[in-house]
Amino acid sequence: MPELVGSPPVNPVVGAVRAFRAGAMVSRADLRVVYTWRTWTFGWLVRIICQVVFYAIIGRLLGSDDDVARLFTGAAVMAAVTEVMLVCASTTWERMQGTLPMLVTAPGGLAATLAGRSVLWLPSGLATSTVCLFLVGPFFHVRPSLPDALAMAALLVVGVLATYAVGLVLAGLVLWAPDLRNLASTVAVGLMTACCGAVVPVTYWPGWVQGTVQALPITHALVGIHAARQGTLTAADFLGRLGLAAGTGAVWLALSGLVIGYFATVTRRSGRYEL
Amino acid sequence: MSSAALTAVGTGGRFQLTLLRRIPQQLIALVAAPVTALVLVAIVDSAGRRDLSTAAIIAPGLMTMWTMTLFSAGEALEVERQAGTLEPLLATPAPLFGLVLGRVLVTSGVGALGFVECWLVGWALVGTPAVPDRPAYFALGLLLTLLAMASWGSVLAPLYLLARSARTFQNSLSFPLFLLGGVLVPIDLYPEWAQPVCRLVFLTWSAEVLRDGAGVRPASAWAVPLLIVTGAAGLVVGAWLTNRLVTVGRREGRLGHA
Repeated sequence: MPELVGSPPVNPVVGAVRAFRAGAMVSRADLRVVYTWRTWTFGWLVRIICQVVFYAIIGRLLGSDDDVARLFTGAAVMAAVTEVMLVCASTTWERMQGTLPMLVTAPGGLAATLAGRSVLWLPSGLATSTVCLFLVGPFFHVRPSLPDALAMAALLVVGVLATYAVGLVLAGLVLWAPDLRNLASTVAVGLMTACCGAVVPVTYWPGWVQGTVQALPITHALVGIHAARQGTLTAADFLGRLGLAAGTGAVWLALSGLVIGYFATVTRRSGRYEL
Repeated sequence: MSSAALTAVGTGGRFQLTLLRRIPQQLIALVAAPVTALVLVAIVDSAGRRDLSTAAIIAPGLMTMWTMTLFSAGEALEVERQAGTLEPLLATPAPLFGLVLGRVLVTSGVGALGFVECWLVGWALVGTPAVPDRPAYFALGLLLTLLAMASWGSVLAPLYLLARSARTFQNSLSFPLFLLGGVLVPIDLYPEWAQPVCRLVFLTWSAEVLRDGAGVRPASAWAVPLLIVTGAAGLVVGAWLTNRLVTVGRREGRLGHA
């Protein structure tokens, strides 16, 4: 018998998968509105390459090619992080467009819907960072061997996917105060750039900061990526860093479910999800 | 500048100040400024180059000013168009360019507060406050930077209306300019082929003068005159574009959405 439109899902997992896919379809439509190939290539990509080169050229001021390569690599990775943290903004779009009440009352699960709703930033962010690292990087002393390049790419993908989960937690919090969406992502990206080992060694910071950033997936991805760039990444280190990035990402994903689920529960009960 | 234009500058400035107070989201660049300063000062400090920390304080200050100008002031006329108030504004006898310039001046001026935030971050991170070697020269550099920034901001506001596709690239006008303007790294460390282009950007000379005033490194003798010239160029282009906007708008009556 064909399934009726709007019938309740068979089980919560199937419902969550359907909700995620529905969110991702909206996201795909948004991607076509946000970027055309022309604005992405000549607007966004050029801007990001300039941003990465801006950091890399500080290495010249510091006086060593290794500093240039280190800063370039860190900034290139953070370019993808910058973009996936836009999940804070795109999550609140539902609230601003007035569609959040429907999502909250739908049986599919708000967390899964919102997790799919902002995936548009992932392909764009990963593409931007990949172009920077492997096409522009050689001009800035980033010339890894093929195995190291593959390791860097894998760590980049896992680190950025896991950071998307961090962004989802922040997005769940920002749903309470949509006006803070850009502020939250800007400050979060800035702090991650400073403290997670992208352009400043983690060891520079006080012990409590060093400890705190271990909870962030991008810290582990960056350790592996910098080591791969220098040609010192062992297979064990690679797997360890990949596992830590994925593991911390899974924790953040579970946390995002709780944070967004709490928002859904409270707003359902109070009905206060208006603008 | 005529007295009507000066009055319009004052009116635009007061209006923008009210807007900034009522729409705090427009001040997001000021919130981001300490974080940018944290990143840049930490980069040079962690590399053992504490001597560059003052340069790393000046750079995010300039970046904050331009970001404020780019997003708040650049949208000054676009917001009027969206609110349906652009046509009445064009119909008034007040010079539109004066109003725009006043708004941009205030935005850029508020953006200059970023220097104070960055200075505090630098002090907290390095442990000693940065003190300009030549305070008067530094202040002159800051004043000329403010004027140059406002001049180029006045270019953006009419440009977004006259060439709407230009607004698509609004997000992309920050880092290319920071890079070309050598806000942190002096352009003589850039490849030779890039330096002539950098010299056309007013930020290059702003950064040179401010770094000189702060005692980081001496600027070229031409830095102040070139800052004035590159800034004034923005004023000329901005005035021309705004006048063209007024002429086209009055003649064809098609500036609004309708």
